[in-house]
Amino acid sequence: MQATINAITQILGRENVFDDPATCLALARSASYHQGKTFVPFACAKPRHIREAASLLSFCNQEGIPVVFRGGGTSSLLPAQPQREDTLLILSTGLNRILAINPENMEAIVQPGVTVAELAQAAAQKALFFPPQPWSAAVATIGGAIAVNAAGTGFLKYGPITNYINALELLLPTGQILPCHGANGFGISSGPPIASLLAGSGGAFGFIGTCALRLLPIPPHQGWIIARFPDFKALSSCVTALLPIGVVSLELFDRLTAAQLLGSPAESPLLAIEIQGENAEYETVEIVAQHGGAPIPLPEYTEKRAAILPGLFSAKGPFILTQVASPPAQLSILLEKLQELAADTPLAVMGHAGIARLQVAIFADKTRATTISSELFRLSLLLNNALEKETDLALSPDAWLAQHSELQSVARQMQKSLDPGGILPPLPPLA
Amino acid sequence: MKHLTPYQLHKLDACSACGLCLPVCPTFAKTGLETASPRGRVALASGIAKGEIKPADTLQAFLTCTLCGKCAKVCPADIPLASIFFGIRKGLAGIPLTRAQRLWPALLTANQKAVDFLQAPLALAASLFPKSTSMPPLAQELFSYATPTEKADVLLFPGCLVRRFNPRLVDLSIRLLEKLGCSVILHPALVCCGRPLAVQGKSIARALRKNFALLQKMDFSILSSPCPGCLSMFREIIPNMAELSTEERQFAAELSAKCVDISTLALQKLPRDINPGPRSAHIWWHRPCLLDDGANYAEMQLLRLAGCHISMPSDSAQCCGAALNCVDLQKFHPPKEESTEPWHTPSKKYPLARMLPAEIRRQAQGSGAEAIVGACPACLLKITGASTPLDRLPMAHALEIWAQLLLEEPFPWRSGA
Repeated sequence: MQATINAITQILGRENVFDDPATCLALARSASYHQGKTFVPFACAKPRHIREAASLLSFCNQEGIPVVFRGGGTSSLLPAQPQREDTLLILSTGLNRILAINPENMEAIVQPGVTVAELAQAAAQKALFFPPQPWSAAVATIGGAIAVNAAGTGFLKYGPITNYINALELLLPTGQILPCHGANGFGISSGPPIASLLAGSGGAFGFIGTCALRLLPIPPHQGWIIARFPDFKALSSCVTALLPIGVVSLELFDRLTAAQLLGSPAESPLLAIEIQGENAEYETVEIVAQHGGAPIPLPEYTEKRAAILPGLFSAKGPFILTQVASPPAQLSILLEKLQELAADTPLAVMGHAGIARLQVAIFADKTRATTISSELFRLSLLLNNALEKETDLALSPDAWLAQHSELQSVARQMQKSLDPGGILPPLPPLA
Repeated sequence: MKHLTPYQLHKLDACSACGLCLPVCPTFAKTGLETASPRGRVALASGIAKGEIKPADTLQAFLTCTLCGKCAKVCPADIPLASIFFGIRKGLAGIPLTRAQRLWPALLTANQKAVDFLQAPLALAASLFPKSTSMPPLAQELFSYATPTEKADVLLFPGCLVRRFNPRLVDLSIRLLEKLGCSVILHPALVCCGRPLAVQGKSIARALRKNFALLQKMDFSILSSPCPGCLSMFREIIPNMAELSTEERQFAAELSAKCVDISTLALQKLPRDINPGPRSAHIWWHRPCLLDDGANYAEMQLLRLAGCHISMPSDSAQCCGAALNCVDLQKFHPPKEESTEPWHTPSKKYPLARMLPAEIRRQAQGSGAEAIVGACPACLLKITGASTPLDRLPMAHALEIWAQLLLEEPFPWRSGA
């Protein structure tokens, strides 16, 4: 092991390789709510140049050392942590330079270790706006945000980070640096946008290097309206009514998460609506009132929103976090089913109501939580078969899962061809 | 882990590693190292408690913590991080100290009147040598003690730094409080609050017992101090210490409820008809980390009333790092010539301890302010000590400025002193 560390030191320099027990233990865990076992990496490496990272990867490939990439370590669903003892943790935080902000191209060129907040701040100085702002933006890195396809508050209007990748470099275990273009990149007008495949891959296809990201003009004044609803039914109908007027974000909170948000016990669910423009407020408040909602004052909403999951973890004990999604029109059915499930096992629900993608915290042991989480996945499939209905492909969830596992194996084959030595982290499971 | 209370141990498990504490941590901002961040330190504390790591391996992580407590203020899980880090320090064996630092426990808990007696000749001797920028001079004249009475509205706890380096603050505080209609007790035999000793990982039992024995005899409704370090010690740290007995814990809780910052008190009692001064000074406000939000608000209100135009930093991760000077960090900064990491800056004695105040001075200079104003005697010493021949921006305690509202004092940096 010492020989390996010496060799890595040769590549990166002594000050960028950490093999002391304190650093390894401190970096062993990331902010994921999955209750998995923690493995301590044998060393952590912090490359300072993209080329160093490429040589490091090719060295690990030669020696067969499994690697895991870590940015800010703040993803709540995909853990940036080793799955076995002999892993090398590669930190992207050393690659933290903003190379250019080009207002002419509405584009930012950044290294993967730049935090999302740093990029947003640099863009704002040139009167530009980077829409994906996950709740952990101050710590989350661009590389990590792409690896988990983060979206943040404006998911409904702006979509996840994959929409903003013009191009990026993919570092392969072979030491190659592949330039990949995104859906709206410059220069290439046809061919599949390979960069989009990397969004949400959890680093399974390689290390994300320098990225070219799309920027937008700064939007008009934004604000939040927080409204209390008597029940989920009223809330869902309000969501459906608000979608056509073009709000930026619609987030729902059940009683447990609303209590965390308000800091006091809550009797009814909440909806947080982010609006843009001068006249949106009047229209929104009117629609909310028509559906039985009552706006409440809630200063510092964004800070409080970021603190919900960790606060819940501390107040109610450990949980396992999973996601469930449906078309927005089925939101009320989805919420009804969740309420039925909550009768047996305590659940906390919050998330993007506008696209009906909810985060569900399951307060149960791992086996029970896995059962519930697969039940929720089947439920998502049942509610989400619009495409199949239109095309006469109506499938039962079982048949869908069988087909999808084939799709997964295609993805695995792709990973294998990029990473023949099998040193990269595994593909994240379907959920 | 006998140095942590069961509650603190329980709270260690409540950390979900969300990372909301990282942006406010001054040492993480400077180094980018996980071991120099609250999240990393909690992981290590929990590792020590579970026996996953030897305490000796975590020395660098915990000794580079400035104990500013900003992380505890933003923690969504309400983990009492500052008091946990104090507890962990006590369990760390082999904290390196310089010879002078080893004398602290004896000096700070000795009979303070005897130390006062030594101070005048020492200060005189020191003044004969050329002035060094790194060490501020001891005060030559001590404050004149008020007669120790047993009953009053406010007990003024001067704190060692004020007593030794800035005794003028005590005179000012007493005159101010009396002008505001409060009677004040100032007891000469009170010793150190224990903060510097706890930072060194030493037991504070001796200081605590001496102080508690005196305090129990006195009748007061408010405990105040010009030093937010002493107040935060009484308010948050001492009541959560694992080494207290049941009676001591109860008394510590009573004391904790009596703590009020001097600025909060002044703002409450200030006559309504006071005339706000014309805006006549541009200052850089260095918010002491240990000042809570209410006191910070009060300080800024009072400064504005006293005619100050205030500039302040945009980032929240600023700390002068005074706690880093309580231990000997030299062996944790091995010189590495080829490195570009500020952490490993070669040939400087305590790079991190120097970088933190230098950053504050740099920003204050850039703002065009005519003085830096803080409200903590430790920041005052640290930031004044970081001045260079090219940067002689004066620093003052906020009390010295807003005292002019009632006492007709000039701005301290304009008084020619």
